[in-house]
Formats: sequence, C-alpha cells, structure tokens
Amino acid sequence: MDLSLYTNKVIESEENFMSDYVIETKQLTKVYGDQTAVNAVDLHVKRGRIYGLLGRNGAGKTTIMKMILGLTPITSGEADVFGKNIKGQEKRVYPHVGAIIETPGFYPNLTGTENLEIFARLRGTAAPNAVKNALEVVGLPYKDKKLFGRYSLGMKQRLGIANAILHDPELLILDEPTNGLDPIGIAEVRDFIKDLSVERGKTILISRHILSEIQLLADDIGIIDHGVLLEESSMGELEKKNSKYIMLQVSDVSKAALILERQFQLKNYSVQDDQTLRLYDTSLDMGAANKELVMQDVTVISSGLCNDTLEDYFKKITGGEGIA
Amino acid sequence: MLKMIEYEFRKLRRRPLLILATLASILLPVPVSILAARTGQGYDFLYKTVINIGHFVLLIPVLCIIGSLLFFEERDNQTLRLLAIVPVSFSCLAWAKMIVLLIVSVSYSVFAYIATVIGAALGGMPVENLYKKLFLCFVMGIMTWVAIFPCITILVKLRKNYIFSTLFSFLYAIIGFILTNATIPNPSPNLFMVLPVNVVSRWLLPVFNSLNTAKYPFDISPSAVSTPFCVLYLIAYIVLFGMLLCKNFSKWKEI
Repeated sequence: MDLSLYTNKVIESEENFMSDYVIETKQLTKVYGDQTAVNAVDLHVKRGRIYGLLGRNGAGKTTIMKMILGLTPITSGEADVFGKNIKGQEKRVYPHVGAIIETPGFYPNLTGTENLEIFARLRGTAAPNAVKNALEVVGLPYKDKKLFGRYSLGMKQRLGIANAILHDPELLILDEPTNGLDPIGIAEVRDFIKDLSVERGKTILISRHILSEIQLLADDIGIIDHGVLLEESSMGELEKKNSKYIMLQVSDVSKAALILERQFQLKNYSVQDDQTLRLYDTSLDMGAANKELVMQDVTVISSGLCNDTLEDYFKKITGGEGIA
Repeated sequence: MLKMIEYEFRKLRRRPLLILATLASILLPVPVSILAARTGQGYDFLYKTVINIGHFVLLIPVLCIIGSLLFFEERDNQTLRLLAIVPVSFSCLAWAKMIVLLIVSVSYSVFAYIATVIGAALGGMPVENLYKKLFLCFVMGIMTWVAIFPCITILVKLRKNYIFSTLFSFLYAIIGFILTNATIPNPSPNLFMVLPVNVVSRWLLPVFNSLNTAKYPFDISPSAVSTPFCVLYLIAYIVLFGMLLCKNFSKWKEI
C-alpha cells in the first residue's frame, strides 16, 4: 500500500479542534427497551493516537460508535467529537470524520470507482485524484469493471476503508475494519492504519473483538463488556499491570502444592489444571524448588517465568470469559 | 438538489427499471390499439383508456414499485448510514427520489401517448388535437406522480419489504380506481375525494369533453372539478405528504 499517494491535508486550527480529546464521552448510555446496551461509558480518545475498543460480539462497541457519530439517539450522557456534540453540528464535524460502521454498504450495481465517485462528489472532495489515490491505498484497482455486488467481503471492507479516507479526514472511526480479510489483507490494513496514525497524525478509534489485533495496533485501549467500559488505559500501562508468575508443570499437582507450601511457605498460587500450577511469588528459588520436587518423586515437566497475557487480563476483569 | 437528482440517476445505472417503465408504457396501447381498430371505436377510445387505465391502474403501481426500490435499496444495502455521515440531508434525498419518479412518470405518459399515435396510424384511426392530447398526457404524468405521494409516504413509514410494497402499490391503485369509478356519477363532494385519483378523474371529465374524447351517459357538471381547484388540491397534497415523507424518511437515519 503506497501511502505517499494519499494527499495530506492541513488540519484546521479551529478553537474547537484543539481539545485534548478528539472524542470524549461522558456517562454515555443507550437503552433499548429494558436492555441497557451501553452503560455510562466515559471514553477518551486522544489526538493522533489509535484507540482500540476491545470487546466480545454484542458488547456494545458498534452502539458506542453509532452514538458518537449521531447515527443512533443517545439515551443519556454526552458524546463530543472535536469538542462538539455532533447533533446539529453534522455539517461541521462530518467532513473531518471518516467511518466504517458494520458492513460497508455501497450500491451493488455500480463499480467500486463509481461508488466512490458518488461519495467524493457528495462530499465535495476537491482533490482531483482522490478516488484513484484512495483505491490505490487500499489495493483496489481504479476504473475496474467489477460491480460492488460481486465483491468479496474483503474487497468490500477495503472499499469501505477507501471511502472513509477519501476526504482525508482527521478522525477515523473504524468498526471491525478487517472483518472478512485474509491474513495478508489483515496485516496490510493493520500496517496502513498504523501508518495513518504515525505518519499522518490521524486519530483512529477502532473496534475489534480479536484481542491480538488490538494488541498489535492500538496505543490506547478500552475494554468493554456487556455495555460497561471496564478498563481504559494506554497499552503500555496495561502491560505493566499484567502480573508476573511462575508457570510450573508437574506430574502431580496436589503433591507439588503440598511440598511448596510446607518447604517454601508458598501461599500465593493457583491450580490451573491437573498438571499446571501458577506461582505468584516470583522471588521463589526455582532451582531449589525443582530439586525438592524431584527428590520427592514429583516430575517437573517445565517451569518458567511468565507474564499475564492481555487475554488473561481480559478474562480477569470480565469475570473469566475469554476472547479470541 | 440538481446534483442529488443526478446521483439518483447514476445510482440507477445497470438497473432495468427505466426500460421496464418504458415497456410498461406501451403495454396497454398495443392491445387497446388492436381492439379499437377491430371494433371501430376509434382513437378517442384508445386515448381515454390509456389515460384512465394506463395511468391510474398501471402507472401508479409502476411508480410505487420503482419508488420502493429507490427508497429501500439504500436501506437494505446499508448505504444510508454512509450517506448520513457525508452528511446528506435526508429530506433532500427524499425529494431527489420523488423528482426521479416525476421524470419517470412524465416519460411514461409521453411514451404511452406516442404509442397510441403509432397504434392509431397503424390501425388507420384519425387523430385530432394531437398537441393538446400530448399536453394532457404530460399533465397526467405530473398528476399521477402527485397521486403516489400517499402510497410512498405509507411505504416509507411502514418500512416493509418489496413484496409488501408491490402488493400495497397494486392495492392502492386498484382501490383508488374502483372507488373513483363507483362514485364519479355522484355529485361532489364526497368522502372519496380525499383520493387524488378521484379528484383528477373529476377534473378530466370536462377536459375530455373539450377534446371531444368522451360522451358520458350522465350530466358531468355536478361531478366535475375546476382546474384551479384540482391544481390547489394537488399542491396541498404535495406539501402535506411531502412533509410527512421527509419526516418519516429522516427517521431512517437513526439505525
């Protein structure tokens, strides 16, 4: 993907565009009937950073994005974009925002180029090669005769991204943008999104239910579960929070635990399965512990120092359920 | 607005809708031309049938079906949310779609008229008041377009699927036609005058007389409505249902 083809635009220096947060929500809540889809969410997306909104399917990620964009009414709370509530300010705010929400929807009887030409002209996009450049950036051919209706899901996603960046917006809101892409496509889009943030200073709010992708992409992360924002921090801070532990795999977990308790006064540990122990006291002398276990006929299969993965952390704060 | 109308036509690329509408316009004149030639009823019978049945029974559902495609396709393809964040005014979008329907409606009427003239020429039927009748067809295209406003507004309000829209469109056209023909000899006003088809039909009575197109077996004067009344009535219809249509369509933005 050749990002250099993509024209840069001087960010308007309006007073309202100078706020610390490009997106800020305050107690954002959405209720459908008697079901609370989003519950008092305080989201803070900083300028020039990639904010990953992580949560399982149905956690409320898309609803938050829709509320931020003014595509669905807010039950209570506020959602400010560039320091403004988007309601009633659409004409001022939308030209600075590019978005994909759920599946990108275009006209199936038109080609990708024809679709983008309509949106470019509706937006009044001035750059003469905006459509061509946007298509090249996402790796789709310009003036191709293939109709959108015959596109694969991956091509549709790419066209959706092309439409989102067509007018060179300062803020991108991308709801699961790599859905349907093959692994190479996912890596390409990930690199491209990263470049947009690092090289072009774009602010990006991206939602994903695949943790490893968010981990590779985001500078800041918000973990959402059942409509509640459980955690919001930078990726660096989150990694620091993850506890270290010794992973010990043995032939007899009960006997090993008894030896460690009696001989080494170990209290802080957990049994993972019938062969695995997690020892949270990392100051334990593992050499001595291994020797003692072997001497008492417990086979040590493996032992080593580990960090909690983001998935472990996710499981911990969501009450045990994992994520892909 | 012109830009929006242009985009509405662009969106119809590779869609056979306009071709189908054109074909529909000659669907009726062909058999009626043959019938008029064989039975010796002449061109006036052919013209009157195409005006009445061609517009009120055929054109109304054709327009409503095309209208439901124009309105529903963007919803079904999830294009509306992309348009919403351009941002595009949904009222403007609704009017652009209605103006596309107006162009289709007038085109249908003119093509239907041309078909009747060709049918008359082939069947050896003399045609009088050629340009007046063409103008009346043009006006009928506009009036029939006004008549679809309630149907399109209801379809947008209900947000159902294409099958429902098609059935509802035919039902709307047929019920309107039956109620109009059942009540025309009755003195106006009556309850069924809320239907635009009824008012347009009453306006047509003296117009047909002036074109020597019809000899009604009843006194038309109590049933007929004047041109100013008809025009004001249709303008009121456009304003009222146009507002309702925009109001309902704007709610589609909230997804």
